[in-house]
Amino acid sequence: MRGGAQVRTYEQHGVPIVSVEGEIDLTNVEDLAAHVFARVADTSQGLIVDLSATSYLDSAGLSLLLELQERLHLRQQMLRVIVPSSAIIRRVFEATHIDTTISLYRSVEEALAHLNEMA
Amino acid sequence: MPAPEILIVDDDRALLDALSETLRLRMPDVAVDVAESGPLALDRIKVADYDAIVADIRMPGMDGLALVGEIRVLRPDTPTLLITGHGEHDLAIEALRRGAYDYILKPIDREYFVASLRRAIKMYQLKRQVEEQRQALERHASELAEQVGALTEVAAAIHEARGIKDVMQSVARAGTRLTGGVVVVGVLRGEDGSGSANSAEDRSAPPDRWEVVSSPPEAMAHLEYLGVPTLLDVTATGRRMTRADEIETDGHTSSVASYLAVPIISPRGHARGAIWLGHHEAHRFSPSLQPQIEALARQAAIALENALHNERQRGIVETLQRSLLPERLPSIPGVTLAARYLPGPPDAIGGDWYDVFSLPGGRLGLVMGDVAGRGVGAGAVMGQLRNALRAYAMEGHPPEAVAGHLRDLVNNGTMATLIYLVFELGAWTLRYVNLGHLPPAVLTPTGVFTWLEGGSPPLGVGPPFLVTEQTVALVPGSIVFLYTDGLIEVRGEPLDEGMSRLKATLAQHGAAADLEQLIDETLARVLEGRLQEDDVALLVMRAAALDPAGLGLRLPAIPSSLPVLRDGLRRWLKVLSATADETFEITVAAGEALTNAIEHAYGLRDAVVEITARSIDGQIEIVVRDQGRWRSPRGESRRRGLKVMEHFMDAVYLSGGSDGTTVRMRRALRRKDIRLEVPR
Repeated sequence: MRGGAQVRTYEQHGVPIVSVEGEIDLTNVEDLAAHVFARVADTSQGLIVDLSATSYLDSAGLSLLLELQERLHLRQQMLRVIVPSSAIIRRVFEATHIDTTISLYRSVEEALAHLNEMA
Repeated sequence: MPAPEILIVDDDRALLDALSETLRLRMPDVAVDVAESGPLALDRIKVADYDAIVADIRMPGMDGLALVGEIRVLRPDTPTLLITGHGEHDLAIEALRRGAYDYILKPIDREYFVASLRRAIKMYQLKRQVEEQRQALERHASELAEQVGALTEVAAAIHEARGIKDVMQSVARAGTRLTGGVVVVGVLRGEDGSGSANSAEDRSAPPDRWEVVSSPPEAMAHLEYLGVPTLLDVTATGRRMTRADEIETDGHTSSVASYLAVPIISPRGHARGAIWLGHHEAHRFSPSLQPQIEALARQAAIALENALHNERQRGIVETLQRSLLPERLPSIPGVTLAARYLPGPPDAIGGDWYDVFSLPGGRLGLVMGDVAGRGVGAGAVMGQLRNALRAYAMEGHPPEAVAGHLRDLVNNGTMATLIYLVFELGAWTLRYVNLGHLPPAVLTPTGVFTWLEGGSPPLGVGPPFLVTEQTVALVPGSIVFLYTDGLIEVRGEPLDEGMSRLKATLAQHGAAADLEQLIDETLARVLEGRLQEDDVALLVMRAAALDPAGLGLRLPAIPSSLPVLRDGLRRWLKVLSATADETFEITVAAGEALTNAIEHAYGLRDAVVEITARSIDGQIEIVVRDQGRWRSPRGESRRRGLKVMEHFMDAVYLSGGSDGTTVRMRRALRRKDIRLEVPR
């Protein structure tokens, strides 16, 4: 993947988790989208995108998350995005009020617990 | 063969007549001359080369023996028969010893006399024939040597095959050596100027497609009026020999009285051109000379084919080489870069390369490498190394690890030297590995010169080795100079001398504001006008501290400019002691503006975005100007981008016109922010 991000994918309790370390911008957002969409499994309740180690994110990254949410919604699956409350990128969500559209969680555990409650 | 002539010498007139009569009857094909004394005989012998001489041994004055002695001097090969008296065997033996061919005893046995004379004549004729053949052979051999010499010269040109023009000149010179005349060699070039002349089929090749050389060089001017170019065309496209044994000239404009033109046909049957030979004598180009000229044309065809191949090969290698060099050097705030690649002579091209690329995390990668060997093979290895190095570097491996990967990649016996240097812009450190390459030079703004020492063996040599990384601090304003050995290596001279020259040049010109100029000076002074024997690659970086007052950037309107802008802004805001939050927000806002500009420029070629950041009275102003068509922020994503800018900056102004869009934003540093904890 080009640009400044490294992606790690794993699964916990049957839920795929995509963790992005580094920076997300126009240089890598398309690669990242392809990578994330490929991880959406039919059987799982949803997908967790962990941005705990993401140091930069702008509107291009937000568009990716919104598109992902839309796709999952059509399949009646849920997107959970992890952004710790101290993370600097949280400001981008706040600036655009997207934190009201996309559910932000502070940790993977919190997101998983919430997903299980819903199930 | 003309009738044999013999001379009979005797003071006895009766015997002379009798012998003459005998010969007339028995050897009617022989012309007989007579002399009545030795001295008279010698007078004749001096002017006529008799096939045989018959002399009486007993004569008054000069006897037969004395005469034989004289004849041996005048005509050493002419057989002489002596007539001796009965029982004078001792005298006869003496005669033979002195060089007589035979002796005839009196009374003369006519049968024996005639038979002996026939043998003598035959022997002498054969001897003369052999001598003529020997002389002919000698002449032939020296002619042959001359021709072989001439053809060898062309053969040498084949071997060296430097270029089409060289081959043509060589063929012209060989033609002159071969015939002593003037020679014009014409080669049909392809329409694109390449040598791919499949012009045989193109019967009306325009004159500008002919490349022509002549020997002597000035001959061409005199030959124009003879229509040499037309003759070349007729010969080459018509693929036939054209010859004139005698031509009318006015005697002033040309000294050519006969000529011969032969086509140059490639081994695969394509007409490549023609050779025209002229001579000031008429009938000079006999059919017997044609085989040599044809041989010359064949040699020329092969030599041209070779040179064409080399030209194409050179073209391929150079294209390959250039394709592997970065199209443009990265634009990085505070960093000035310049690079140059000079291909070597045709047979020495390929193998040297440089590379520069931005790495995540505010780092810059610089590479200088040299693959041993030349041509397409070296170019291919170079391509592999370049791509692998970039890939490993982008993955975030430090220089040591990148070098380790490359070491494992190159194990096919190819040797390569390489320097991979990572400049960490924020920390002002250079981390590098040197695999057998010449040490880079560093020159500080105060003139302190150092070689970046330390390193490992070259790639592809010897047993596996550990690559050790070096780290040095870089003083702001320093230049780092990387190069390949072609710059400083002179055959037969210690490497140190070239390095001293480089050091002296950098010390003198390193302060030049323009790095391109520094490269020009370096090439001029270090190469010192000598012909390059090898490729030369140069890469220079100057890293200056950022000016707190402002930052100016011109970046291509492409996504990869985004990290460059962010990195520059971060380093600049660090100089201004901005907080982490301020730095993040200003960086995101500027990134949004640049993303906008990149989208405006979509579909435009070579579009550039100008970005200036200024610090005025605690206010940061950022201006992003593009050349794209004006568009109001469209789509959810762009509207969100605008929202981000407005949220993170105190004021955002958009203005657009036919010549582009400008985003102007400002924000005070250390502003009091009221942040609401937004509930999920």
